[in-house]
Amino acid sequence: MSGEAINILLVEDNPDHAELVKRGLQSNNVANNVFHVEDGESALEFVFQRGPYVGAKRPHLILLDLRLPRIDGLEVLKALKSNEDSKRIPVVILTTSDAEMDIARAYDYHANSYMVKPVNFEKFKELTKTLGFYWFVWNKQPENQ
Amino acid sequence: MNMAHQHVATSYMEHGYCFSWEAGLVWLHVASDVATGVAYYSIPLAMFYFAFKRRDIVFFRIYLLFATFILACGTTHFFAAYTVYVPAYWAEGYLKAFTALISALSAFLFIPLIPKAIAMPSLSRALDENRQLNAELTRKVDELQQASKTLEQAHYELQLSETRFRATFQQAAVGVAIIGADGGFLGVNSKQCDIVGYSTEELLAMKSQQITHVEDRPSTLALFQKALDGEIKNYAIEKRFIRKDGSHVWINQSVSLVRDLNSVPAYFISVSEDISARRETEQEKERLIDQLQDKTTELERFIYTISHDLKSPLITISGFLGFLEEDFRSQNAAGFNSTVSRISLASERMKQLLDELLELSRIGRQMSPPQQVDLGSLVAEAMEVVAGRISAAGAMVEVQSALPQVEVDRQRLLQVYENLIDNAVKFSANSQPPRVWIGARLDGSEPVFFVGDNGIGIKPAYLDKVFDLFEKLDPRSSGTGVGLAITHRIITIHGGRIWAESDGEGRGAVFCFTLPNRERGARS
Repeated sequence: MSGEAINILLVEDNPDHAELVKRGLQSNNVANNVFHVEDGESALEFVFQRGPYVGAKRPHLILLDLRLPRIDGLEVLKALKSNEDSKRIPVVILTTSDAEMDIARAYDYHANSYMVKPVNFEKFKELTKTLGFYWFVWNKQPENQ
Repeated sequence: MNMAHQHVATSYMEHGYCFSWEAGLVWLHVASDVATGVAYYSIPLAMFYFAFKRRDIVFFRIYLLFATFILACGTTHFFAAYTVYVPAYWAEGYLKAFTALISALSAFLFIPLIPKAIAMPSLSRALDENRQLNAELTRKVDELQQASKTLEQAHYELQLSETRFRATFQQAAVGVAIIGADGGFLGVNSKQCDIVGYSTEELLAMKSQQITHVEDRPSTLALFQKALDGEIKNYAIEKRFIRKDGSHVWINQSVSLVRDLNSVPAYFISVSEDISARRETEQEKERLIDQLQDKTTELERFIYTISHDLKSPLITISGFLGFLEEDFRSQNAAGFNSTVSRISLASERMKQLLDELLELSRIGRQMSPPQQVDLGSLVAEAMEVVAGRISAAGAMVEVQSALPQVEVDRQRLLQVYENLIDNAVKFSANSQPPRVWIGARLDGSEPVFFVGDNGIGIKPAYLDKVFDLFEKLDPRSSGTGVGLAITHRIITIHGGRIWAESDGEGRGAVFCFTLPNRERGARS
């Protein structure tokens, strides 16, 4: 993966939160392109290159919020993980909810990681920094993506 | 007698001569013979008297012969005394001959009778036996009397039992029926009649399947047959009876089959208890439990949603405060303004969320009693509230004339129309021109109120989601996603239904709701 920019799909309905994540990712020194969509339906269209997203780049990582307009985050996760084309794309849940039920269900639907947005700037920065580093420096992904 | 006299006259001497007329000797003989003769005579006289009194003498002829024989012997003694003074020896001789003849005859007839006489029970034995028989008879009579008493007692008790049974049968708090193997009623008590509303006479002319609800007939019949086949002795079933007036009543029926001495099914005894009240209570209980579960689920979802959505602005505020600090250190003035504006918007949004949540929680707790409201003037009032947005969007709003009267919490229904008109104008703002229409129609007999627009529309899959709390189909739209949740809650509390209709994206949307009519409102 070296040299090539990393494509991250950020599924987040709150523009402020999206901004926070984007800024955090910029500070980790891993070159990346963040594509931001605001609802579950757009997320699926982006991944499967449908509708307005025909020709969209295939993401190397998906950051997925749970409470989304139209199609709920868990539904998006289920759709991604039950599709042969998309099931190997790592999906990291990034949400405000720390409800046990949400965490359990996310893993039931094969989420690769589950993170709760911290209500603290330093921690939020730390999280987004570590996140990029972990998934693109240390983590190995299948080559045939 | 003449011949006797002749003899006397002619030849013999008196027998006294033989005693030499010695006075003592003569008197000894004469007195002895007379005494013997008297004694002899007294016996047959007693015998005749006895025979006269008792006609049941056995061997009667021998008895008479014996009497004659003793009489004859007595006569010979009198004659012996007579011949002491008169020598009538021929006469005495004839008499003796006669006596001898009678004696011989008696002996001749008597001796063969001895074995028979021996065989005859003696009087004492007979008396003994008689006593025994009498005792036995007395005992038997006693026994009979005892048996008769017992029988009387049993009869009395039977009557008592019958009376008790009748009273129990008739006054039982449960319906009791005796049903033949063909299902026909053989007997019913008054409670059974009460339960189904038929008279005793009517029921006795009917079959049990006629008062069984048609849906319960197969199961009842199956159990009936099982009992007849001997697979079961009794059964209990909860089912419905059809009353005479056609209504149905839930009962708990216990049925047992009585067989006769040859094990042939004789009749069924059916005991039916009216459990309508119990069933109603149970249904009410289930309804309340369901309601409570719904409330709990709703509350859980509410808390989940709130905790999630209230946290969002906090994350924004704390995040951008951090950037503000960074911008300040790096003297980045350009970023500064936009960051501050994000922070203030987020706190604004948080305030709005809290206000609306408070509003949502007030609905249901703070409701005014329903009142008659003219819907036309209420809609006009709602339009005044959102007049600013209507004119800003340049929307054309058509209100159907002659809207009906409704019975509602006026303030809450006003809120409903404000929300729906505001939404309609907001989502049709980009149409050319934006159009909103408000009215009422009849679905069957039920009035349906609607607010429609020619706006962005809703995909069919999301038609139900629009009423969820904080649910915003368009993330860019203004508002918190509480408005329709509040609207939904107000209509639900009024006992009505609310739903959205749309042919899809870009094809407008119509929000419809019902309000229960007054009768239904009164019942709930």
